[in-house]
Formats: sequence, C-alpha cells, structure tokens
Amino acid sequence: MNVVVLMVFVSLLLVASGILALAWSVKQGDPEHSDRLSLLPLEEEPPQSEKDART
Amino acid sequence: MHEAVTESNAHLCRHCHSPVPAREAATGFCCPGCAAVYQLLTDQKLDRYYALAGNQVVPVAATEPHGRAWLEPLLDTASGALDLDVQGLHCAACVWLLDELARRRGTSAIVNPARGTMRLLLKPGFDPRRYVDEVEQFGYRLGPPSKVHARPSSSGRLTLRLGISAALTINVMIFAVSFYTGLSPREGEVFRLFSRLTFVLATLVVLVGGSLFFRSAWQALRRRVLHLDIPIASGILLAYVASVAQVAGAHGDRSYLDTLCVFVTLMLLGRWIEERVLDRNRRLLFDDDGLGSLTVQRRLGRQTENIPASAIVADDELLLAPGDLLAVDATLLSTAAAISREWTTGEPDVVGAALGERIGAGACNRGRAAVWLRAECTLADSSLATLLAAAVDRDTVAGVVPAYARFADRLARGWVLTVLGLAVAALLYWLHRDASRAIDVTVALLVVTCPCAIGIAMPLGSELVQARLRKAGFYTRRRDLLARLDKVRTVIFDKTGTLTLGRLQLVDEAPLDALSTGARDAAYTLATASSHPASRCLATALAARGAHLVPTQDAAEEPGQGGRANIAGSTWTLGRIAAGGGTVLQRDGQTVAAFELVELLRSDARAQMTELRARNYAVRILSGDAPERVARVASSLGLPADAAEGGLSPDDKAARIAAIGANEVLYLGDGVNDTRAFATALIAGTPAIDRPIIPGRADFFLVGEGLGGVGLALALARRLARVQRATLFLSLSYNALVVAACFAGYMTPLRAAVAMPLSSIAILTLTILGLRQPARKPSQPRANPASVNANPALEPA
Repeated sequence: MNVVVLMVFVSLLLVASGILALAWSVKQGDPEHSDRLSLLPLEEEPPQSEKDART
Repeated sequence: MHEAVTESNAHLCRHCHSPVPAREAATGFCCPGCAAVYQLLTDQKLDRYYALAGNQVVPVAATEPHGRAWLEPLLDTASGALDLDVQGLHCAACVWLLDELARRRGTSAIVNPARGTMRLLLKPGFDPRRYVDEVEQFGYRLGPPSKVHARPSSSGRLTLRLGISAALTINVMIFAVSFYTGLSPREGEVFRLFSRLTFVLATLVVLVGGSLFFRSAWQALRRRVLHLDIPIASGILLAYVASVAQVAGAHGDRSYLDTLCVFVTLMLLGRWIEERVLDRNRRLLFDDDGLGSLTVQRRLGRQTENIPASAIVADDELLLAPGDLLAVDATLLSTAAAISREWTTGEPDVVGAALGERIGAGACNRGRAAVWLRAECTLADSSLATLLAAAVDRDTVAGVVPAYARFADRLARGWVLTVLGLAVAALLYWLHRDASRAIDVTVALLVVTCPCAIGIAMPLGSELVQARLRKAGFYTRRRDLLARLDKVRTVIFDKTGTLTLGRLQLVDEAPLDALSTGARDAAYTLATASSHPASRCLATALAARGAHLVPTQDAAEEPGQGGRANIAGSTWTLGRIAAGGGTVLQRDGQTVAAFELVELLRSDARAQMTELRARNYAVRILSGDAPERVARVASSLGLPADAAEGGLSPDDKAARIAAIGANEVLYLGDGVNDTRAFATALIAGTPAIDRPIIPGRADFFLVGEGLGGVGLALALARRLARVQRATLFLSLSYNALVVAACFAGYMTPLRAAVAMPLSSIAILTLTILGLRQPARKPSQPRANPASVNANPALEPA
C-alpha cells in the first residue's frame, strides 16, 4: 500500500513539474516561436559572440 | 527533393505547386513573383527553403514598390536591435530564410511567425536598409512595429489552460481505470486516497479549463443570448456538483469526474484549434486597418522629418517618395508628377500633374522622382478620411441579425431548452419512481447530452477546410466566415487590381520584332527611363530581344505622357500621342512603330467566372473605372453586358450591393473606394495585401495572382455546411439513444465514459471523411487554355 501512495505522490510531482515547465515555456513565448524553435536541432552551434548578442 | 517533385508535376508551379496558367506554361511558374523568388533562392543557394517548407509554400504575393519613409525614424531611435513587423510569414522555412539572409549579412534575426514580427540585431557594418530591400525581393513586406507592443495574444493563456487540463485529465483517467477495474469502497484507504485525488484534480480541471466556459456562458446570459456555451457550462457545473456529492458520500467510483475532465479538455482543444488558426491568419498581414499607420515626410527648414499622417496641418510641405501614398489633399509644388488614382477611383492610368495642380488624398506617386506638395487640410478633413469614416463595421450595426447567425442561435436555444426540459422531466419521473436514484439519473442525462462532439467537430472541420484554403492562397480573418460563405448567392468583383493585375501586356509583338537595331535600342533607352507601366512592359519585352542602352545625356520623362531623348542626332519620343491611343515610338516627329498594350487580367479570372456561373452564382462587376473599359473586361470574361457597371462612386457600389441583397453578396475589391461596399456586403475580401487599410477591413484576403481561392472557398463552405448538418443529425440520434437509456435508468459512469468518446470519434471520423475528398479542383486555367489564351487581357492601356 505504501508503495502505491509513494508512486502516486511521485507521479503527481512529475505532473506538477510538467505543468510548471509548460507555464514557464508559455511565459517565455515559446508557442509563438515554435517555428523557429523547430529549426534549432538542424542548426549548427552559433559562435559564442552571437549567443552573447542574443541574450 | 523539390526538383523531383516539379518534374513529376510539370503542370504545377515550380515554386508553390499551384496550377500553372496556360500563358505561363513555358516558364513553369504560376506567376512572375514565384519565378523571381525561385530564381533568387536557387541563385543564392537558398534552396534549402524548399526542403524545410515541404508543401507549405504559398504563391508569392504581388506587391507594388513602396517607399521607405517609415524606416529612417526607426533607425534614428534604434539601439542595438530593430523591431519590425513582417508580412507574409507562414512557416518555419520563412523563419529560416529571413534568419539566413541576416546571417549572410553578418547579423542575426529573431523571427516570430506567430506574431508576424522580427527583431534584427544591429551589428557594426550591417546595413538594415539593404536587408529590408533584400527581404522584400522574396515577397515579404517589412514595416514599423505596430505589433511589438500590442496586447499579448490570448492564445498563450489558452495553451496553458489546455496543457494543465490535459495533464490533470490523464491522471484522473488513471485513477478512473482502477475504479472501473474493481477498486471499491471495500479497499479502504487506497479507495479513499484515489477518490480524493480524483476530486482534487478534477476540481482543478473545472477551475482552470471549465472557467472559460462559465465566463462565456455568464456573459451570454447577461446579454440575454442563448449561446452554445450555456449547455456546456451548465453540464460541467451540474456534473461536477453531482459527482462531488457522490465522492462526499463515499461513492467516488460512481462519479463522472473522469468523463467530465475529458470533456473539458476536448472542448478546450477545439477552442485552441479555432483560436490558433484565426490568430495565424490575422498576423500574416500588418496590423494596418487605419490611416494612423501612414507616415509622411514633412519639410523642416532645410531638412525633412518623418511624422504620422495624423500630424499633418494645412500648408505643411510634404515630400512624396516614389511608391508613397498621399494621405491628405494637397497642391503640387514640383513642376510635374506622375500619379495614379487607382486606389481611390479604380482608374488604372498613370496621369501627369502640373505645378499648382490639386491632387486628392489617396493618390500614389508613380514617377521616378520624389515630388513636393503643400497640404490643404489635416488628415481628419481629407477626402480619404471622409470616405473611410462612413464605412462602419457591419457587426456594430444594432438590430440586424445576419442569416449566418440565425442557425447557431436556433441550435443553441433548442439544445439548451431541450436538455433542461429533459433533465427536469427525468428528475420528476424518477422522484416518483425511485427517489434515491433521481439525482443519479438527472446527472447522467446532463453529462451524456453535453454537446462535446459538436464542440470539437466544428473547429476541426473548419481547420481542415482552412488548411486547404491557405494552400490555395485564401486566408480567412474572421471566425464565422465559412458559415457566411454558405449564404452567398452573388459574387461581385471590382475591376482594377482585382480582376486585373495592374500590369500591361503587348497585344501584338510584331511591331517590336520589326524594329531596326537602332530603333530598338532607342526605344529601350526611353522605356527604361520611365516608370510608367507601359514603359515597364516595353522595356521587359525589348530586353528579351537583346536591346541595349544607348548613351544619352538628356533622356527625360514627361510624367504621364512618355519619354524624350536625343540619340545620335535625332529626337526620339516614346509615349501616347492621343488620348485613348496606343503607345507610339517616334523619331523626329515621324512614327516609327505603334504598340497596343492591354491591361493584364488575372490568369484564372475567366475560368473563375465561368465556374461560378456554372454553379449558379450570380457574378457581377462594379467598378469606378470608365464604363466602356469595364464592358470590355466583362465581355472578355464571358459576362453579359448587364452584369458589369462602370463609373460608379463608392456610394453607388454600396447601393447596388444593398439592392441585390447585402446578406447574400461576396464582394472582392482592392481600393479605398471599395470600403463602403466592404461595409455593406455580407463578405468582403481583397487580393491587395500590400495596400494599407483595405486588408484590415476585409474578411479574407488572397495571396498570389489567382482568384481560384474564392471559388474553392465557396465550394468548401457548402461542403462543410453539409458535413455539419450530417454531424448534427448523428449527434441528435446519439443523444436520443442515451437520453432514452438515462430515462430507463441504464446509464452509469462507465457506460457514459464509453459512449461519449465513441460518439466523439464517430462524429470526428464523419467530419474528416466528409471533407477529405476535394469538393472540386480549384479552377485551373490549363483545363481550358483556349479560353484564357484567346484574350487574356483586353483592356487598352
């Protein structure tokens, strides 16, 4: 029984962290940038100077 | 990959895969815009664009050159980065292209296609002016950042609601599975834990997801309107209250909380799809629905300053760059100007204006040089503002319920009253028969009759249709457009810029071929020195025949008339020598050759007219241009003479539409003289997305050179209406069955959890299958090349 409770607790923690990650992502505006973000895996690593400029 | 596709589809455009009109068959492209962009992409080794875009490439929008007056003040104030609005972004490939172009110029661009904006990093040595020019060559338009500070989109909040509801619902369902597989109150602690967690998570789903429907239903009730959200909200609320009562009574296994959570999440999904589609279409264009966004250059001592058009006062001296629109009525201070009043009157000619001449607001500088004008009034007092002020949004007109809205109203009203009536009847019946089960039965009835399938199927059907329309270059801007399209019986077109392209074409190329080398080069030199559409057409044709520029010091353009130059001791002129006549090349006053030029009709205009009429739509042309020209265009399009009227004022057009029956008219126009017609017609659309004001007032816009999207939209709207009627019938049949089951006391949470998804799947499948087969192919001029080739353009220039 204790194992079931523990598993439920852990799964709920995972759900909560997933929701927090989603909220953070929405606040960042990621859904609006989904087209650009979908290209990121195809891109080569930009030079450090460009990273600095973007931030 | 792209090449392989084009080879196997030789009749499709190599850029956008649209059908290629017969007259462009040799080029392999549907329009010059697509050909130019394809050439640019391949020349600059940017053909990865096609790999990224897949089949999402849309035809290149036809745009007129426009001024850069808006850019300088932005550069003056920008530090580090430049925020711009972008028109024409539609997929990841566009994002890549704009970023790649920036990267090649040593900087980077952060493009936001969902909002239609970009941030350009201003690094040392980077010239944003050249970047803007380069990007616009690919068919995009850049403009000042009206969206950057705009209110954040509501779709973000909806995404969050949907995400939270979906995550929690999945967990509620996991608990529900244990109830359905035998977890009962006898299990003690685990049962209580699962029941309470189900209750907590479902409460969160109702609070986060359901509140959207509660608010909408409450607003509808306050306005005394029966909206479809009322049965949805009441179903959620009653199912929740009754389920909570079950949980409190230690009967958590008999609650409907899992079904309720799935229902709320699916409804949110439907809303999210709807919002996202509309938001994307709207943001494809500039937020440019008023005169406020126009900027002008005003003289300030020995310099000029950029000011919004609303800041103009009488006697201001204004500089009008080539391609710019004049925002107020003004007097010409330069010696001459070449202007076009097409946007305000529908007359396509570029005409000359002389020093001291009064030029009305809305005129466009079509000359090669900037001209000075003195403002006669403020923007608010200008003829342009007067014209636009009368064009009120038809939705704000009180007391008028358009036909498209009545069906939804009737549906919502019928649903609400029937469901509530049945619930009361079930309650009374079971109170009489077995009072202990009365609440259970009533709740079951309210849960299973929730119109969730309709709530998901309608947005899905709409999205499926809109995806096909986007591919055909047709973009909707309002939620109920497809419902309105089904009511259309008459389609009315403006002529200039709508049926025609604003470009000219030679009727007969023989006079060009007969020219001697010297005459050909002289004609080319004169043609290239002028921005008149006739000169542009001749220059292109002469260049294709290998003509060269001849050195001359005094090539001059007489605005609206033609060009003159001394070449090899002779005086050559190229222009119109008589009103209404053709363009003539003369040497020392002697005619060398005469060219008849005609205004180019959109490639599929004739096929589109034929098709619309074959499908029993009344088709008409209402134009501000000269009646004889309109009659010629009508005749070349195969329309009867009485279906076309010319010389109409904006009010005349609106009156004609009202006389036909405004609630059945689709109007397609492009000029500011169409705004009153826009306000009167049931649906208004425009192919002129590069003009200010008009796209912001249209219900849809067309991208590309064809009109095929209109016919396709009308056909698909009819098909969608049929599918929705079938969906409704299926839904009503399902509801009749489950209501009977509820009355008989056979409905349980498990049966509801099975029946509701099954009905949803059936209805979604019906919707997808019903819309899968093409209603008809978009009009393909290729199918009837004779009709298009016979006379693609009959409008004398």
